Amino acid sequence: MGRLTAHWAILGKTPESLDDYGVVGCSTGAITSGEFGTWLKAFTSGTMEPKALPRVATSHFTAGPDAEPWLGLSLQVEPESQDGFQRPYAMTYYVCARWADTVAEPVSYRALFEALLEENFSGQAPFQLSPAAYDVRRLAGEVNATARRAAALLLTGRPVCVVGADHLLMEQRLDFLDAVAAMLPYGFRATLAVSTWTNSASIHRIRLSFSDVPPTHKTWELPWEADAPAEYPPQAQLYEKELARYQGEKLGELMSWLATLTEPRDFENLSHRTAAASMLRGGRPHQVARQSPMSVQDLLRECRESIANGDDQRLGALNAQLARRAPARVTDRERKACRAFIRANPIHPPNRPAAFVAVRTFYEQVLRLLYVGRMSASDVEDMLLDLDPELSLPPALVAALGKIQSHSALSGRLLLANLRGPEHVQTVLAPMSEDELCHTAIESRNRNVLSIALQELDRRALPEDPRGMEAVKHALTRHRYLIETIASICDAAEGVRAHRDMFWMSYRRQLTSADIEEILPNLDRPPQTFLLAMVVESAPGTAPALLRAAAAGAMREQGLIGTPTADDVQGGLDRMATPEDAFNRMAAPEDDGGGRKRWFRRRPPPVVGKILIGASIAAAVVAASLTVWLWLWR
Amino acid sequence: MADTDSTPGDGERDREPDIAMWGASGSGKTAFLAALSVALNKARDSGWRLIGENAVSRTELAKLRNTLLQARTFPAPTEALTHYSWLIIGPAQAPRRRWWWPWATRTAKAPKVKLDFLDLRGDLFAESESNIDKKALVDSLVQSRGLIYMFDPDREARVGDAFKHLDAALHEVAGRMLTGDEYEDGKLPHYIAVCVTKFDDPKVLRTAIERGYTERDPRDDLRIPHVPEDRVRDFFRLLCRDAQDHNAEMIVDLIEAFFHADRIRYFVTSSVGVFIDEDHGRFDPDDFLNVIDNAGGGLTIRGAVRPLNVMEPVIWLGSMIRPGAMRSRRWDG
Amino acid sequence: MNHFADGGLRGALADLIGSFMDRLTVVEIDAAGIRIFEVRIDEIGTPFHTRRASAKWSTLTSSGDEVFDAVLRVAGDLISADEGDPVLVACSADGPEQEAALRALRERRPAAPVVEASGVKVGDLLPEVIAGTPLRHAYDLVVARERADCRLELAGRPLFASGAKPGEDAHVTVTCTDTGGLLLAVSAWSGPLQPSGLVSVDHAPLSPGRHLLRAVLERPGVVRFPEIPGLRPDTRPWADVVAALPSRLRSAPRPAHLVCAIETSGTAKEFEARSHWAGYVIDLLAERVPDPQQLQVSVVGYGTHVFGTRHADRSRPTMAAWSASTAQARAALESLRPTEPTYPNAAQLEDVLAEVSSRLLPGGTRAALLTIGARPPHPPPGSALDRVPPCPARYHWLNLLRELEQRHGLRSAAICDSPPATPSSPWHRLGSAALFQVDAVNAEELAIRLGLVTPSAAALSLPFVSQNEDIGGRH
Repeated sequence: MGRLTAHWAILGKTPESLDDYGVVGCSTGAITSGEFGTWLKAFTSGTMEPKALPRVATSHFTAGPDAEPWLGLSLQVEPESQDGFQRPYAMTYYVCARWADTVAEPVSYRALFEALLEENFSGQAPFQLSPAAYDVRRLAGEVNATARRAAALLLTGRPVCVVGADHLLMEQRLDFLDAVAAMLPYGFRATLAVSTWTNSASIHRIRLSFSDVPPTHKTWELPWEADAPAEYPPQAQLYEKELARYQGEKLGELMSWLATLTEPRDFENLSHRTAAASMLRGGRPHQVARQSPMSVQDLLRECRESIANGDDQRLGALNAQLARRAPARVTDRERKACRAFIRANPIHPPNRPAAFVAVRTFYEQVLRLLYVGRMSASDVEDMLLDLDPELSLPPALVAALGKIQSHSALSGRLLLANLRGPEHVQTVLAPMSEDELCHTAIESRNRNVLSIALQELDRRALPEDPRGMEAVKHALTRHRYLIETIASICDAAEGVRAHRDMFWMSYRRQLTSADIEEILPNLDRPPQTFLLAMVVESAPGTAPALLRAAAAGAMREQGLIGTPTADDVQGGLDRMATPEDAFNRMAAPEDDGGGRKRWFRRRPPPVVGKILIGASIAAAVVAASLTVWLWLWR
Repeated sequence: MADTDSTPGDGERDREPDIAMWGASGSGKTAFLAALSVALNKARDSGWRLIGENAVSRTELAKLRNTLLQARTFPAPTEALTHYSWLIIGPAQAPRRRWWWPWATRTAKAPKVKLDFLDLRGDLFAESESNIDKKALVDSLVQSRGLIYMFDPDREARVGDAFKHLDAALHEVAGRMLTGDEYEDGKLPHYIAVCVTKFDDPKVLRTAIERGYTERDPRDDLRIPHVPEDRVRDFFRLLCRDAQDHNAEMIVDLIEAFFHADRIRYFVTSSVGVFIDEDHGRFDPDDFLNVIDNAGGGLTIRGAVRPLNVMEPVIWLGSMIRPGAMRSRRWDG
Repeated sequence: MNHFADGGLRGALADLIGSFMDRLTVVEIDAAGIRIFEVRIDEIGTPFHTRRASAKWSTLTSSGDEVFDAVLRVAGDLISADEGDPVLVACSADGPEQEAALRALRERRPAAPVVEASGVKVGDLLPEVIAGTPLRHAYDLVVARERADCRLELAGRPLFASGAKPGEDAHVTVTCTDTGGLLLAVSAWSGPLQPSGLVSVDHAPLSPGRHLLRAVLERPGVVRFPEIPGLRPDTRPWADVVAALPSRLRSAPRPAHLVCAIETSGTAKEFEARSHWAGYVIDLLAERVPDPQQLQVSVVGYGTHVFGTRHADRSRPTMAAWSASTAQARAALESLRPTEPTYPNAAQLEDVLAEVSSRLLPGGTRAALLTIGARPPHPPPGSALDRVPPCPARYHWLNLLRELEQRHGLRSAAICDSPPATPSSPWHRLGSAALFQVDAVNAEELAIRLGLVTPSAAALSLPFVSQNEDIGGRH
């Protein structure tokens, strides 16, 4: 069994705390601490009775914007310590994995539980679990009549509560739950919450569990290893009977086959249940079981051989097989493996026109199955690294790219169009506003996209079209001249170049003092490449403006605005802008003549009347520094 | 997926609880329930009994009672929304002759009060709006007719979140019930028993004794101090003033703002009661601690479990919300 | 200018040194320069001199200042203007500088006598003269005198009266009680009732018994005992010497009774550690107090009360040995076994105190209690606020302890498993004589603080004067 990425959380309390239950530790990433708390609490199943703990339970939930299904397993134990009210409390150790990841290689509850026990639940990283392989022989060994009945009763859609099994160990109860699940299509695990113990007075969401008494309503009471009461519905009895026909190795085979039925199924869904209930009739499982379908990777390997051998016919047949695969059925891990395979074994399509259609179809299938989701620019570049690392752009591939262009993200679409030719780029660019261009460039963080966007902006900012220029200028200002993007993807020279281009397309002339004062105040912390580009592009006599704007930015950033330092800096700026002899004249009366060195200099007051103001500022500075000094020496 | 699941408990929810209880975690809700059966069975002369209506509730009742009486400790904290369907059966009324048919007597009839309790995790009100349990809880509060509100002075002195929880709960319920025209007086229609719990706690009992809130009941051979009915509200206010949280002072006002004054009653309760040395046979102000630490770090009940004022709120609520309470009272005498 | 010979200067100095009150200034003017000396008296009345200033004429002139100005300035700083502080000028050369200097000195102190002294240096003469000065304070030998109640007090045995001259000797009889010898401490008295300080402290390696000693006043501040070989200065701080003195020379012959109370509840390891120290202390006493008439030991094991039973717990501490010998106590200690704690926060220590209180007979013995355990006693009835129930037997540990202290002069020490949780913990009270933690016990000190053994370092180190010896000294 391979590695299974599992996110994890601990729900509980710290010893002697007065707090209520909370997530006291969890992995970071796909699932937030808040989501963990919500789902863990949603699947609690009663008070902490002594016979309930330790308790293993499974749960299911969806997370993320696409409502991706997850499967979780928890172990609940009672620590030695008490909480601040001297009450016992439970610690719940929880792991969960994406449903898709538990499908590629089926995993039993017991294996997941044992993998959980291996972990130390510290740090922040998700676990890489190595659950034991799905052992149908072992699972079949756990089956008894009660298990078959439980599986059959679950297909009625009502929860099942096994009673009279208090004597079983927790592990035995877990194996029972596992065996029941193994006698249903694997896809049902996506919505199957089981627990080794529940309190029937509590209102819970567990579908299959053990308890001392069954809940009052709408739950099947299933006595452990006892005769079936008469009121069980006929369809359940039928499924139970069908199951009973499989014993020993045959039961193992049946479980293997059921484990391949991984399409998520919901117990709440009547058609899912009836389909499952009728599945075992007529010995179908054996036929299906023998047809072990080729994996996608095997298909790719054969396709590659067919292309190399020029066997167009075989390629056509294989393409048809690929076409039958649904992208949703290919797991991320499979996908990763396939892409690694292609990258390691490059495909060299022939130049024969006769092969064009088959190869194009092959590329289309590969793109459909392996590159799902809205592709961004970096996804497109990754894809190219897989399929065409030498950028030879075989026509069949270029043609196939057209298929995925429409449902790619804007940045991906731009790159794909660029690969297909300038006319395609224009069709993509035409409906985009200047803001969208900037936004796409920023979002993609991709050099090619940036370059396409800048070229397009330059094309639009024509001197004879002031409105166009204005639009470009505004878009660039609004997007802060893409400074972060440029800083992150361009080297210094490229960065200066890019910023120069932007100044040029915004103004179409050397920058004036007014331009500088327009540009700089809107940017905090302009990078040095930006300032250098500005220096390169600035008109004569703009130095003071640039300096002033830079200083103002620095002061704003340091929070010095309105402080005496700001006045000092302002003084410095004034002085720097003043011709040298003028400064000398004014500096003379400043000397205080006491022979003591002054450790700060005040701005020379341009008017004598301002001396008083200056003196009070100086007093304030002295007072402030004295305060700081005293504070330091406390 | 899970959030579109129908829950196995749906059946229970068709019949909403008549009496719902709430209070912060650790305020002794489950212990109160456990004590209730003990209390009813202890009150020999009252003739009241508590029974479970179905197998689950019977099992839970037995478990709760065993915890208190046999294990001599407190029930484990409730982790999930838990539903108890109980029935209080009173003493059979003496048969009466009908005046128009005096030679045939009616069979004796015992009054029954149905108690559908919803016990919940104390922190449920801190949960987000979308929590399914919380929805169920608010539903139950909305549909119930009697409420038991537990105020734990010990927790209040240490954590101080009673106001926050109460405020949140009342606003949820009011938001659901008072926005329409049904309750024109702007008050919630429930009867509410406000229970100040853990009267046996030395801090609480000493406060009561030292500030002169207690009296001796001449009928009580054990001479356990009790807070007379007309002083309970003031005592509750006093405890709120002593609480950790400033807002606690507003709890009484909050309750009285949301409920009709004549539908609120205050009780000072203790699930396990005070310790009475059997050899002395009466309350000893120097030694009444009934809940002590055990060697395992948990709590143990030291002496006999003598619930104080545990059945009174329930019987009061039961008699207030019993269907046709007035009518049956007239008919049964 | 007065012209005196060398003897004149010496005589003038001797007179002045014998009589000045606060300070005496001696100015020496010679061909080379000027020096200013000052003589003062230390706390025990011994004169001593210091050179305050010294300058060569050449440095005074070369610095650009006039000699007159310079001397005037120095005199202003160093020479008291108060006529009560005598000034003596010793002049041994003539010349303009000397002239100027004298003028300046006269400016400061016009009445200061000027002595012509050639061929002698003031710096050499001063120590000689000081060494020959008679005593200003009386000198006593410090002894420990036994009072009527057998307690010791410090007293003085007169050696030299004030006015005694160097070279005089005195005889004194002392009793040495310690095999290590004794300390000969000489103290000075500025008045009959006013001790002013120690002159010297020497250790004399004398054998126990009476000794006649001869003391010689060598010079002020120095007393010698020439006939004691191996005499050497003792450098210990006097406060330590005094602190180390026993309150009585002989330990009272009253027998002692140690009660060891050991908490049995806890793990075997915890109990092991507690009994270890009980055994250690008993063994230590067996060694130090071999006379069985002088020491009785009791061993009592106690556990925790049982709560939650129908009737109040009537279990009592186990009295493993009462008023037994150390050997019996040791055996009794071995008989104790660890017990399971039935209550975590307190133990039946108050029952132990009640038991001990009922058994101890009044009078005669000195009682000591050593408590070794983890849990404090149950709080007195009526203080249930700390969530610990009172003792089922309603014993009040603090009242019992106080009563034991008052009736039997009980001293109590404790060894607890872990440091007391709060400053108000009963352990501080139970360990009022000594409180140790089980992992750091000084058994020796514990026994001393319980008054069971006298500290071995507390032998009398001063000459002993018994009650019936009349010495007529002061104290």
